[in-house]
Amino acid sequence: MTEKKTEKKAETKYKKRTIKVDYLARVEGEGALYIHSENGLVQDVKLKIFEPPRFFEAFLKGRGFGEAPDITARICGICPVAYQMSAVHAIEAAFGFSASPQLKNLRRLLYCGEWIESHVLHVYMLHAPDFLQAQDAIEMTKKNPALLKRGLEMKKIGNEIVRRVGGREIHPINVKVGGFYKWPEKAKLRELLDPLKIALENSYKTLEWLNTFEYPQLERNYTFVSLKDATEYPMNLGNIVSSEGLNISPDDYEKHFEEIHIEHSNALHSILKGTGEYLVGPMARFHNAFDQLSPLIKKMASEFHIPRGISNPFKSILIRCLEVAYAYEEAIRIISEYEEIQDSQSLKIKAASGCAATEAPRGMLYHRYQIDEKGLIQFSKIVPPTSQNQMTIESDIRDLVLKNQKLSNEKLQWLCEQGVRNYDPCISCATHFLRIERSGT
Amino acid sequence: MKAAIVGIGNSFRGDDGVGPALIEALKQEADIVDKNELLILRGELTEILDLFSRFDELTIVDAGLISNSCVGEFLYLNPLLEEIPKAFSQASTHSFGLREAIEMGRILDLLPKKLNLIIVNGGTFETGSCELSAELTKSINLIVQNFKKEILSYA
Repeated sequence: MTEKKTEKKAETKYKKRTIKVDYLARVEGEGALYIHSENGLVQDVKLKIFEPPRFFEAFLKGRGFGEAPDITARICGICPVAYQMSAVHAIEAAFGFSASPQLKNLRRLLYCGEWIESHVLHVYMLHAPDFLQAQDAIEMTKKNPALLKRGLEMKKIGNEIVRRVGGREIHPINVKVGGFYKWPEKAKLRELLDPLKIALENSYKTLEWLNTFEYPQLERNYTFVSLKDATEYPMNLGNIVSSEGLNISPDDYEKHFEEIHIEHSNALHSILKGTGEYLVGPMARFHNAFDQLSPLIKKMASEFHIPRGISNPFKSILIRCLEVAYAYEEAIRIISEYEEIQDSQSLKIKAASGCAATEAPRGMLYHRYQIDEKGLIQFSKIVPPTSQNQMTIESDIRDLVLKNQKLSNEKLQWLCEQGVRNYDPCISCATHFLRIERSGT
Repeated sequence: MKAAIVGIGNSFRGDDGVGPALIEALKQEADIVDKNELLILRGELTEILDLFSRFDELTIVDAGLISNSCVGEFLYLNPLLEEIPKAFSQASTHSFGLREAIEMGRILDLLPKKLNLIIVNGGTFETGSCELSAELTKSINLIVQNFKKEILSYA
């Protein structure tokens, strides 16, 4: 049967159809997707997150502020740095602590490591197989072992940075409020310079490879939300900005953003008050902070035709790769300038509250802590990126279904699953509940 | 010839901690310690791939769910002779695990000369549980003895 006849048949056949994906593959945590359409109109799209809530905010209550970096690092095995560093920044803000330039740089290096680990894993192992119709990275690379070798080498350098700065590759333990327990040796970091230079070249080769993919058509009109700093591409500093003109301090996050509970999800959905859904992550950072990218990365973006404001979510893989290249370049710069010092400071404990936002690989992450005069955490609020992207993911899927009515159920399901994986969602991180307070009887 | 016995698992996830628990038990056995490096790992992709380049002989112990088996039973796989079934992939797809590492090691021609995989059937994998389940606790000594016999027979 010709493709045209197949499409016609599908169009006639699928006047009314329901697609259910009980377990989403190649995403972190347990989630499902439900789509129902009738006569070409999408009636319902639900990204169902049924992974149980993990109550990290409750665990933190009553714990000393110094425990927060180690506890919050356990929220995620792939982006622990973002969690622990958001906690550190928020608590330091509460105590009025200001980090030295050296400390800021070392923390930024740790972020570079995490972005590399997370983005390379997603690009090579989780996302690329979608475009090559492979079930997984193993199937994808069986015919091309060199590809796998390159991806693993690119990821390994990220692991090494996190290990040497953070103390270990996963759930780092060297981070503390006020600095680091132990500053890494200059010589140990400098050993990474040559592998980083090779990795930077490999990120260019990766873009060449990604540029050969055929990307599904989908253009969306996103409200991009990210951090933005005047001097550097955002990792752990900056104001919260949107493509619609919002520009606020992280202190004002809760005045402008709200978390709501949706029946079908154990993860809270976030909305921008007055706007609704919004997008965080690499595409948002790339749009809002393009000017802060280095000349090299801008040149690579231009060479591979990746314009600022790109709004096809399937092409987020290209931006992840650009961010990997940027992270290698930043790591080279920071390590080249690094001098061993020990400027971690102890803090003066007081009853206070503070908040901070940083950029996890998959998007902006917000933390707020209230601490009592003994240094014990009385309240915490953590808003992970995946819960902020949930509504946008559902809207992407709605558009995809509308525009691809002619596809068979099987092909449409594959496309929609791919639509979810565009976001590299971390469902485990996203699962938490609203705190409900009852009074009276 | 460098040899290692590696226990993979999380001691805070109930029976998932059987790999680390067995390694702790084997540390008391001088004949095994003499011939093998004993390691406990979380099971992340790159750390397992690193093992392949560091050792000529590897025995990897991990917990699993084996159908039609009692808790505490264990089975041997020889990854050099057969592919590890896809069903053995771990649920969390952000952290590629043992099966992916072995299959990627095969693609890259990195697998060591001898590689034995021992899967111990677990009962509960509850988050935050620091103890092995009652059934597994009862049979743990027997399992250690069997491990000793089997492991010594490799060496």
